[in-house]
Amino acid sequence: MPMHESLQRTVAGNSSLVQELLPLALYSAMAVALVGILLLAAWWLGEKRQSAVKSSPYESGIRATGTARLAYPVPFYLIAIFFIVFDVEAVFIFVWAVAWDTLGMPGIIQITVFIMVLLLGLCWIWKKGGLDWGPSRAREKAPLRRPDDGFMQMTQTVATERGLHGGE
Amino acid sequence: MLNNSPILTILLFLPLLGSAVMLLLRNRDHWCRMLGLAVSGLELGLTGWLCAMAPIDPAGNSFRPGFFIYQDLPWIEQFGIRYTLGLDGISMLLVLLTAFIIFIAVLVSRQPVAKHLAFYYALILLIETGIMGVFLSLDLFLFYLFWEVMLIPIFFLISLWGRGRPVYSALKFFIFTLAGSLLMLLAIIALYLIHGDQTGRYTFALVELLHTALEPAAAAWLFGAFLLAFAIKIPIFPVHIWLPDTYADAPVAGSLILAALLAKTGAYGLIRFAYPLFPSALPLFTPLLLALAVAGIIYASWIAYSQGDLKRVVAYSSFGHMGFIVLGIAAWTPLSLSGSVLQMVNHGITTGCLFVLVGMLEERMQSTDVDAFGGIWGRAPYFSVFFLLVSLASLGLPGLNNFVGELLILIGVYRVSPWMATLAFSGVVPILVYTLRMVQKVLFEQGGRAEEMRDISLREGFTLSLFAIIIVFLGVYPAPLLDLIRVPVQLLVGGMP
Amino acid sequence: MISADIWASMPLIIIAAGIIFVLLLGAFVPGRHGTITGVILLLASALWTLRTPPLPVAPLLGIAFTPFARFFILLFSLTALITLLLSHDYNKRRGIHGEEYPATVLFATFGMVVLATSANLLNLFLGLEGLTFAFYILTAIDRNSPDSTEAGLKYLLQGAVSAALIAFGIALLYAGVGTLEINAAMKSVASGGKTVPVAYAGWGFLLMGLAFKVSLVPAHLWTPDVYQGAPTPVVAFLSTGSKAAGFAALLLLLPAMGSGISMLHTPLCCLSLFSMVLGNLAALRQQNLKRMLAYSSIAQMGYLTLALLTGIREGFAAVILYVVIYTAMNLSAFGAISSLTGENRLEDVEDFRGVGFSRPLQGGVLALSMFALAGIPPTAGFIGKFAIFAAALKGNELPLAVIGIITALISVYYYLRVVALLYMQPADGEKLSNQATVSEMIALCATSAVILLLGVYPGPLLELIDSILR
Repeated sequence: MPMHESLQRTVAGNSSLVQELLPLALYSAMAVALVGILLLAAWWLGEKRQSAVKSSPYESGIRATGTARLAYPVPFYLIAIFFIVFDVEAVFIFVWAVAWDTLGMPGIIQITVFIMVLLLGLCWIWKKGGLDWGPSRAREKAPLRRPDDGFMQMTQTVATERGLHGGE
Repeated sequence: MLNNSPILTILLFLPLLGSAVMLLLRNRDHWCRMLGLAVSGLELGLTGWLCAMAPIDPAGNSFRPGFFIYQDLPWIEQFGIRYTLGLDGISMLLVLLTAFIIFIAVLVSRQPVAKHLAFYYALILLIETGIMGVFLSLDLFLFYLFWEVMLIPIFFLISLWGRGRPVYSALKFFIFTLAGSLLMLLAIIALYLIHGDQTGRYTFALVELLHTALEPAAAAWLFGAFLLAFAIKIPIFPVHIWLPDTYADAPVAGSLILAALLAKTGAYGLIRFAYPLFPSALPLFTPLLLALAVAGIIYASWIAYSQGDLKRVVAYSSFGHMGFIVLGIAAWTPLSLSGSVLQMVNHGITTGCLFVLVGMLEERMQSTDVDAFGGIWGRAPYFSVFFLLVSLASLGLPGLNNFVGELLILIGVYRVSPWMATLAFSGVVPILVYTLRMVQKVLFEQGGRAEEMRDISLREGFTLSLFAIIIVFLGVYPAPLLDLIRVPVQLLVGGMP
Repeated sequence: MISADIWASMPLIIIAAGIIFVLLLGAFVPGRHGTITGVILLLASALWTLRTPPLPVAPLLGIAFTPFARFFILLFSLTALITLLLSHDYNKRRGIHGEEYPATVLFATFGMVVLATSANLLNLFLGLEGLTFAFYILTAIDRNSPDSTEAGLKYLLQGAVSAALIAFGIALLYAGVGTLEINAAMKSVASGGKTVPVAYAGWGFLLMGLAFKVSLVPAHLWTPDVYQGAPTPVVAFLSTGSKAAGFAALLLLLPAMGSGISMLHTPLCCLSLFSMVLGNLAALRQQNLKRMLAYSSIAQMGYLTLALLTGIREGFAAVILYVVIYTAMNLSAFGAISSLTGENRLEDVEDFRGVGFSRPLQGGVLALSMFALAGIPPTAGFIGKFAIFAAALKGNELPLAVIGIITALISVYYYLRVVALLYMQPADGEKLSNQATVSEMIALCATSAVILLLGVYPGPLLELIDSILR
């Protein structure tokens, strides 16, 4: 039975709002209580002594060198995102595929449009050099202004402000 | 024959057109000045012509009793807003005054304006459109529109060409007047809705709204909102605090327009809208208004006496004399109301002329400090004669214009409230004192820098003679004006405009 | 059936195909063709909308080509068109390259159009999120500016929360009433004087999410930073298009509830009150012009909500009228700022000293839009405020209307301060000296003409609005 029908029936009966929302309230209370208890327990049971060695990244005694923020090549991200994008699109196609006969002609047209758009998107990425590993022709032609690049600059300032650059 | 003719529309938008052309003439200073004079002169001629054409007794008017010309067109029909203009005796006088003062304002703005001349004259002409609109509109929405429109050019006029702290003063003026106006807007909308609910016809037309039946409490609130808006503009005693700064910091044309015209728009609003619309609120408010008017007269004279700045003296004197006008309106009898309307013209002329004279002094001596002058009588005889004449007119010397108006007001008020009339009459004494002190300090006392004083030029002489002729003429023969306003005043006090 | 569907969704198809076309064109034919292509496409969609009579609901796609939708498609297309005209040269000055920009502007428009045509809560959500998504990108598109990136990040984080709220709200509504069809769902939220509690809760979430989109206090926190950081033409679009879309969504939902709207009265009152008061008070203290306009737009949204919460026909008409007027006012305000700035980042109020004389067109347009925003006649801002307060009084909201009037008075101070500065002598030479280019001139003249025209002759527009309200 769909949820809304059961709800409506409850309302139609002379049960009060409190009764109806009781499960929700109980559930919320339990969730909050559980999280609270866990936090409290961790605080109560945990060790509270602090020392320089204890708060270093490797408690085994190995001294950390350099900053923990390393620059990854951007193509890693690009590839990861393309993977996700095309993977998710595949899900849509799959959904159509299991019901293709009931969807009929409109369904075929719709999925064709969908795949076409996807394909054109791929073309665009390709042409723009998004799939090239390393310096691409497209990027050589129109060089971006380099690392006064906004995001890097911002993280840099934040890092400096918080003293995160370690002791170099 | 003039009914429904577009002559009022022409009168209204001619200055607007002039200012648009003016902005196209950027940087050609001479042409700008000529165009300004031409447009304001044409406007003056047009109003003069209308005045001559208008029959004294408008019984033959089929549209509205009391109105010579009436124009009525649909405008924003969804809200029941119409484009309704009407000219009766009262608005005729004020329109004439407006055209005259604006003409003078263009004429006297010669020396102090050095920069952006086109913009300056365009603003003055825009003000003319705004004020004409206020005096001609008979639709509450249209009236409100012009009421606010005229603030914009005055704001610029003060903030760009003023002295002292012009931006501060301009903003103070703008926000003060807008505070009242916005509450009035709410009251206008409320009245519109109440009338609409009663009759099923949603309209802003004054003629129809006059027949709205209001609860006394509602009428009191709405009248209060209207009164606040008009009181700030006039200004009436406790809400005058924007006045000294603004009048003193404005350029000559600015103070001229503020004192001679803007104050009149407030008084006109009381006469045309607030009083006729809410007769049931009058018993409650009449004593209050009478008291405030008298308080204003006495307070202004007292403060004016202790001012060291000539412009502020004139500003407070203008404020004090406006008290008489409010007094006459508050009493709401045919006699006092005629006196008030007549006095609105007189006040515009005398105070306007005083500001022009002070402007000339300022231009020559680079100062408006009372102590800086003195001994001018010997150095600049023509100037001194005009100054003396206008000062005497201002304090109400019999035979000059102010006397007639104030006398009518006092007689009218005496019938309603003898006490208030007596108090107001006693207020004439301090006026006498500070005005004579001003004359004595500026013209006669030795020790100032009178040697820097030049006498008036031909152009200035022409301007001042115009004023002087009107002052004397209205002092000895005010009958034509009184004839003009007799019928409208009767209709207003009888309950119908 | 299917041809009717396509017919109804033609403006969407034109814009959607346009996005792909602009992207591919940019990739294969280098150069700045995006703007002109985009302008042509938007004109095409606007013309198509104008020429096609309204059609009944097309159930398959959940798209309704109603008179309401037609009106808003037109509004959104024209807004985007002005934005493109403004951005072309601004982007050149700021070094923002690529066909992504016009394509993303078109995509935002697409989201708005989907929203306006939706007959279904899911479509509504899609449209709303589509346009917000495009704005995340547009806000951060100036990669050379840390401010822009920061603004994009802030907008994204808070926008994601609001998206979640809206999605959850729609889910709860569905759970409560059992349908996603807007009219049916809204009717059964509050039928026969009884409300469905779960649906009521759903409305709560939905309202909070929409409050974020139109930046009503307390969901306004992103607004000042985003307005200050994002490229100015983007802000022009964000502050008009996305706000108009938010109110279009509310106008799709609220009137369908009939008298049930009274259950939302209290929350809407609070939103309106806080936005009017806080927005105007905060704007008083701003030195950056764009930041000031951000707070001012928060306050303007408060006025819109004031008309909305009356729940009467006049109120809804006033909302539509003011949305149109507000769009024109903010487009010309931000348009003037954007055409004066670019290479430089001079956006403080003080920097605009003397611009009124040195750059009469841009300065004049800025002054005009300030007067309009302050609600001074004869600008359209006055007609809009008038309609709103008339509706509020008619809906018996006297206390809120009085508070609104008082805050409007406060707002006059900061608007006029800008105008006064525009026409003062600059202390140390003119800093802002960009000449307006042709496209900027067209955009500025168009928006100012709308402001003045609607100020003196709003009759035809009022008639149109009257005809599109059900």
